[in-house]
Amino acid sequence: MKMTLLAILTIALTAPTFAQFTVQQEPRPKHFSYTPPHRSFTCEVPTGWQPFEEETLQGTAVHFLGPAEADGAFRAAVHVHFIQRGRPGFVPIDAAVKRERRSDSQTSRDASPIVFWRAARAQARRFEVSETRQIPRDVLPSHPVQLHHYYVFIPAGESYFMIKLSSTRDTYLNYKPEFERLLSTFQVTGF
Amino acid sequence: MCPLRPATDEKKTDWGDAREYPDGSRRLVFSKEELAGTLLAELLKLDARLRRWDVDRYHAELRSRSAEFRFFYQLGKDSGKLPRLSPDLKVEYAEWLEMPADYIDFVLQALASPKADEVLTSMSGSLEQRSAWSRRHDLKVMSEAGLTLSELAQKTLSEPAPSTPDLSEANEGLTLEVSRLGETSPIHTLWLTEEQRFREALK
Repeated sequence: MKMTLLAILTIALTAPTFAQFTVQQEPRPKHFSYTPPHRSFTCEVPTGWQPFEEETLQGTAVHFLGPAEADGAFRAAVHVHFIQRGRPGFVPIDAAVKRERRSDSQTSRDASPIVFWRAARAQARRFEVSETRQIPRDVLPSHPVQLHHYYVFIPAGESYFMIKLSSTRDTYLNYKPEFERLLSTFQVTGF
Repeated sequence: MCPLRPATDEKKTDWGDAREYPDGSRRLVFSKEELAGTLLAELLKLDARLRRWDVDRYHAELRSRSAEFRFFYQLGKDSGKLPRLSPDLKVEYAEWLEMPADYIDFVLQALASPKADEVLTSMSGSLEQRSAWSRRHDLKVMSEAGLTLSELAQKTLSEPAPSTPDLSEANEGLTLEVSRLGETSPIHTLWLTEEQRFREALK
């Protein structure tokens, strides 16, 4: 018996180590490249932000829905609107920028100065807006929440893109690097 | 039921006009125009439900609300003055009229939140997670309003927010919801047609 145990122990200790199969999960990429079905642009979007396309009154829009915030009463999102000339209610880019930057005492809407900047091989206009809205919308109990929007207007012929990051003012800086990446990779591919 | 005694006073508040009653309570008062508009929107939502169009909740909401706002617009044009609306509705009306892209963005972000639980609900997690978000939100609002919360409620608030659900392609429910949202529904087409007709007439 002693001999058998000794033999087993010897075999166990001298046996070559078998290959160790450790399943190494590929780290999930932090971004993915996105092209909408109408193929008007491409950009890189943070993983987990859900894209959703729709035809709108003024053209087309892609909404990238991000994390829940304001204690679950709101959701951060990036919106890419393609505003087409000739559509009902079309407002040229200059007038649209002016309108978006207009102050409103009811919502304490306030805009930062415009920064001219190069994006998608065009001269883009960029500014920030903060406003206070009742959140959640249409559901009680609600309370006033400060929202923050980064606006970027990129001309595309006589039409234009309006790209916007909307979130609460408390969290907007968390998404800023992701938004910057989206903008730096944003390319107009056709319109 | 005890009949409500007449109001003693009417005051403007951050939420709109409010009437004060002898028992110390304050109740918001809505104008006839706002009540009529709300009724119109609710009837259109009911119509959408009967026709099974409300599967697309987002566009069903846009369609009913746009009809309400078109009603306010026409009322304002006929009477020469803007209808009396409560502050948050007035803000939404102005946004819809002047910045329609911002308006739809705001509606979508609100409807897709765990509290509203109307659009892409799989993004907000399981039913338990969604109710946890809702409970947490309501308690926070009550706490900020200065109400004393029970120990259990305080414990709920001190706990971390519900975790983020799996948002990868492995979440089949979410993938299905996203693909459905991308399809054009009958109520989406109807909303677009009605809105385009209105904006054309505005020119």
